[in-house]
Amino acid sequence: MVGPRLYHYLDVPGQHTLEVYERNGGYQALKKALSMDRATLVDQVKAAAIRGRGGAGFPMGNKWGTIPPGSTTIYITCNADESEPGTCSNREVLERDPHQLIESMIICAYALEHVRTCYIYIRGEYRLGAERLNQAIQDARAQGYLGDNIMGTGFNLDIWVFRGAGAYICGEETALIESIEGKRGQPRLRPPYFPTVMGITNKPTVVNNVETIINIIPVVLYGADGYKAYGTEKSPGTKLYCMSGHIKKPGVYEAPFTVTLRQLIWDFAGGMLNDRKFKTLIPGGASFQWFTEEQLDTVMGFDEVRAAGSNLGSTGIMVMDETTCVVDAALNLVHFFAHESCGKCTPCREGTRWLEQIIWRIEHGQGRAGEVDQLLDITDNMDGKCFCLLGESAIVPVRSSISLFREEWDHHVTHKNCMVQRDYRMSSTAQPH
Amino acid sequence: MAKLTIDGIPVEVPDGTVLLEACKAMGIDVPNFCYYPKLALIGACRMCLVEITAGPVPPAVFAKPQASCTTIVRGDGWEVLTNSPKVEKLRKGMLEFLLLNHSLTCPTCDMGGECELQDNTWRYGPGISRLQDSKAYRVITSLGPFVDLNMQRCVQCQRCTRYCDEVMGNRALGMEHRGAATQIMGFPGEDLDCVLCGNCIEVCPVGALTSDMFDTKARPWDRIETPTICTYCADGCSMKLDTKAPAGPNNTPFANDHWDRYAVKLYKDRGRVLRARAFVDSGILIEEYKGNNQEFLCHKGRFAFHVINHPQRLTQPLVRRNGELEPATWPEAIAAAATGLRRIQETNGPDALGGIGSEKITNEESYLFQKFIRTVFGTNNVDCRVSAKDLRTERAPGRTQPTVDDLYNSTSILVVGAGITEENPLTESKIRLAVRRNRASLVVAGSRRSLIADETTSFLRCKPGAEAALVYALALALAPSRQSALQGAVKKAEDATLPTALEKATQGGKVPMEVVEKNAQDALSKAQDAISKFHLSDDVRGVLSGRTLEDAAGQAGVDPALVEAAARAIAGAPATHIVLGQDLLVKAPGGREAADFLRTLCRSFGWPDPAELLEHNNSRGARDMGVLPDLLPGYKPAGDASAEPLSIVWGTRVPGATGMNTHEMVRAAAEGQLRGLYVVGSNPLVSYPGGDLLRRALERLDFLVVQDAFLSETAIHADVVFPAAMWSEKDGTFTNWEGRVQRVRPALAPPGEAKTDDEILVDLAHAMGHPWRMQSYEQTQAEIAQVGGIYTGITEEALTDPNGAGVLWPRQNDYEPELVPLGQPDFSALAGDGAYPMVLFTGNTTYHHGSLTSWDEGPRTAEPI
Repeated sequence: MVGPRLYHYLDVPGQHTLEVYERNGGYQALKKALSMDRATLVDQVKAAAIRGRGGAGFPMGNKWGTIPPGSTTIYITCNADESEPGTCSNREVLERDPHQLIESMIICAYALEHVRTCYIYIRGEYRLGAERLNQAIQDARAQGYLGDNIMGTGFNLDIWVFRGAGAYICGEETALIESIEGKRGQPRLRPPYFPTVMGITNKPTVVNNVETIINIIPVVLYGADGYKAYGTEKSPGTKLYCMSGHIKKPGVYEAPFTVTLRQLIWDFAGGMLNDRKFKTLIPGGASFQWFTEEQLDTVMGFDEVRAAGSNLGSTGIMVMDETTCVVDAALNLVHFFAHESCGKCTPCREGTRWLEQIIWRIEHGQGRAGEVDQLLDITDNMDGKCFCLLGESAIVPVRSSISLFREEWDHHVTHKNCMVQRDYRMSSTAQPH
Repeated sequence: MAKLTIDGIPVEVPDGTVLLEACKAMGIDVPNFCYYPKLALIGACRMCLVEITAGPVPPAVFAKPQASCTTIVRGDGWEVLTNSPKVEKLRKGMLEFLLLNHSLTCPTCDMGGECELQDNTWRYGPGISRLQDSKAYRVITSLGPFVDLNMQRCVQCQRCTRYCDEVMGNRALGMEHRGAATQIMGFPGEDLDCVLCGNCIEVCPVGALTSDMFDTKARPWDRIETPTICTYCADGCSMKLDTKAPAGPNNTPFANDHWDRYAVKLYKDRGRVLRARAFVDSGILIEEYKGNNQEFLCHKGRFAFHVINHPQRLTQPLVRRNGELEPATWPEAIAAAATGLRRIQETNGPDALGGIGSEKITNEESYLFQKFIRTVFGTNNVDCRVSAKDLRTERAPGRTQPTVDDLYNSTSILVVGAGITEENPLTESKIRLAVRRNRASLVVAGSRRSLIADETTSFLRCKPGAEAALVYALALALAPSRQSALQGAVKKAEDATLPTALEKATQGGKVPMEVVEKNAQDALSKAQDAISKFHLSDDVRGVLSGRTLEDAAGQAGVDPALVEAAARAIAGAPATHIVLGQDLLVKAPGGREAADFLRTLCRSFGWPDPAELLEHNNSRGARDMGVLPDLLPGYKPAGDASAEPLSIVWGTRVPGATGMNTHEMVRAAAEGQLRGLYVVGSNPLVSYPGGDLLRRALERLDFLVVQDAFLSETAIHADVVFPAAMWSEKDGTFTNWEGRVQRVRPALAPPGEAKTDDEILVDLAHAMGHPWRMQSYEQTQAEIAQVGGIYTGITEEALTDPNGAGVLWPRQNDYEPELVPLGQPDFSALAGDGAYPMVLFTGNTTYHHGSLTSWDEGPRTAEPI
């Protein structure tokens, strides 16, 4: 392991096998951790201030701190249900470096002491990832890294891979827990606000994203101070930025939290596709406020993006160039949310579908006068009224694109066609029903 | 207590109150769909959102409107707005969302006129929809012969799925698909696989789940809903019988011809019961959350009402002429019966006559029936118990025996020998709720596996008929467990008074030391008090001496280790509520003694008396009324001393000697000593255990009078058959197993010439030379109170008080029955004599109760017989 980097060995052939992983310094962090005092280990994690990569940026150490003292059964669950549009950083780890995740989970479990069982909730579509993970778990167990009496320390642990059934909402931690319990994947009632208080079978459960968990390896290897060599004071370490859209080299790029959007697009991703003009981008998956040219110099850290009016989210950065019709783009995103709404609460279940119907008509030249304002009113009826954040996210593309590109929406309604010269339509042509 | 201000009005509610309930308590209407008091909170419909402008939690939490159904009020300083412009707008928005894909089939919907979506839209909703697109396709289907599903009307509140799981333990309904395609469903392609209680219909706030047995036969405004009590099991659920409203003064409610034809169609159902429903409407649930069953009805209660409308109901008296039963007029039939009975009375003496009563007729009729037998016949040969094997002396109930509500709030419950899911569904659901909501420890012991056994790890399944042996095994395990549990509690309380523990309890100075000390001392003295009160009475010691747990458990066929574990689960509780079922009380050998023993044991433990789950709707009442050969009204033993005051009131000599019970009467009739029998409201040929003997007895009888609603198997043998009204046509009261006296009201007139049982009794008494006068049920009630010293102070006002569910008798402090001295039980006989390899075990099923349901279309559809 060279410096606190997560993707360093990703391209090494056979890295997913135990042999190659061990050759590249694998399970050294585990050996070191097992030789450490648990309290020291927890202190190191807290000092390293690993921020949750799933979107909220809640520090991992603080999350551990919310576990009620005296708990005798704790579950650790890795959220590998990576379903956010434009996000694929976890997949690379799961498919090409699964031992990294397993090693990290064992360290976390050891640090929290009362963990006997861990779950990896993996997105159902990640078939290769699940296969590789299962193989890796089998190999790790054979090698004595997992199972009973791990490396002679008397510590026991099992990891189970749980494949999701294709629901975006199961990436929400409480819905994920419901799903693991075998129930319908719908978010749970809060309070209790954190699953670390009541999670799987009402026992404390730590739910962390893949990317968050694997940050523990550099923390163990280099200590909290060494880990903080990259990134900022508040957001140390590196981040995996998932670049997609109208750019020359889409892909996942690892960079410290100090990188700007402009650097990511032009230095990392090779600039705009066909050298067209940049129009807009979404910095963190489908759920957050769109950015325009003005915000391109935003530093891609949690707090900086929030200050600029959006959210880092899952850092699924989707770049759109001048040939993009915003109505088309909004329809694409709203269709996603309507499709993924779990149906539990009224505004999300009914509202997302209605939004999609109206936007489809506007996109296809059947919009009526006043419907753009009606869209805004519908989003207002959903805003802050939904059970979880899915419904609240679904209104963002509509609001964001209308507030940034109102004239395009009005043009669609009045002229029944698009003011943008586009190459293709990105949304489905089938009318929602 | 938490202090809060709702719409500017200050109010104080207990900590932990749901905000929505706090609003309701103040009379502020907060529209909602998914909230349901018994069920887990889900906050799905978002209809009850309110603005919270201040509260003890960080303000960020309240940046958005909050669901009042999931906001639990704790601490002071809450400021809540339920009528701000923001809230009004969001309600409009939410109703618009709910109505977007709603099919708006209100004119043909069962719930039209009493629908929560209609009501809320009328109050808060937008008058128009802005939808310009197609509505979502949602499925309309049948979930079997009882329940229909129309997803186009569903508001997805999940009340039905939660009720099915949390209250009924069935999980027959679930959710399928997601987003706008979400739908309620059973198992695909199958009818509902459950107890078919139909409570999903009841809790549905809209017309998504409707009753296939009703299906738009009447609009709410042309229905009459008669509140009454169910006639099947002894749980005594309140229910409403819906009938068509009678026509207007000139019998022509609609003027023109076109409407006349419609009116004919509409009124063709007049005089029929259209459906049975729980007394509490889901729509008005929160205001009127009362009764002991609230919205609950079981399959029998909800669907077995067709029997009232049955075409084979008796509509005129029948008299046997030339060997055939032929229709007769009432005077002919009464005269024939009087003559036949009087002849036997005169030639063979009054003790050659007997009466078999019913556990189904009202208290007042039961009272009049036993009075009739005792005064007009002049004998104590009267019994109401037909199906029981064991007919020992009945015990008066005490008030410490648990009620359904006690079970609901209990934390420790023992169920012995009861097919409770099948026979007492309401009681069972309350026990399930206690387990799920209070995490109550539950032990189920018996030979029948009921659904309730799924709620516990302590299910002790004994051999059929060995329930009594299991009771002794449990007692042998409970006595030492209780002692060590109480000792453990004292030890724990003592430890809590140690300085280190006290220091810890202050939570670092948060709680004052004095308070902590006082609490610890209180707990200690309470624990010491409990152990000082614990001592086994000599009676109990006597019974248990020389027995070991292994012997007793072995006799019952249960692993002793399981019995011990089960005993540990309930032994330490301050009050374990025990319910005893029919399997123990009347079927298992030695069951009655075992029940007496348990009662004595409970007194030793300081636990409430065990409750006895009787079989029929008025089993308790019939016993209270003294339809028993050895007990007069009010459990006064039959004998000259107690008969004396009765003789004065009744104006005639009351026989002193104990009469024959059902078994003895049947045997006497078969041997020719009993010559005349009067059977009211029961069908012994179906329910009596020992059909051959009874058939011989009926054939040998000189004269048999049967009074029933149907020409039953028994009635076919009768010389005179009186057509009787059913419970749906009567005024009076029923008493359920708790001792809850509840009001029964007539929903319609008896069919044809049928009369109520009390009318027939009065007529027959007249004909036999006793000038009885027809009296109202209230007058009979007053007589019962005067004669029996029971049911005192039960007035019409108390019975119909909307905030209560009937009147419990005995009331608190009325009396505590004396314990019966325990004899030494014959342990060797407890597990049967082993003469036969198989045991026939009878009982009621989920869909059939007694013989009445065998006439009914509903239960017959669910479980053909």
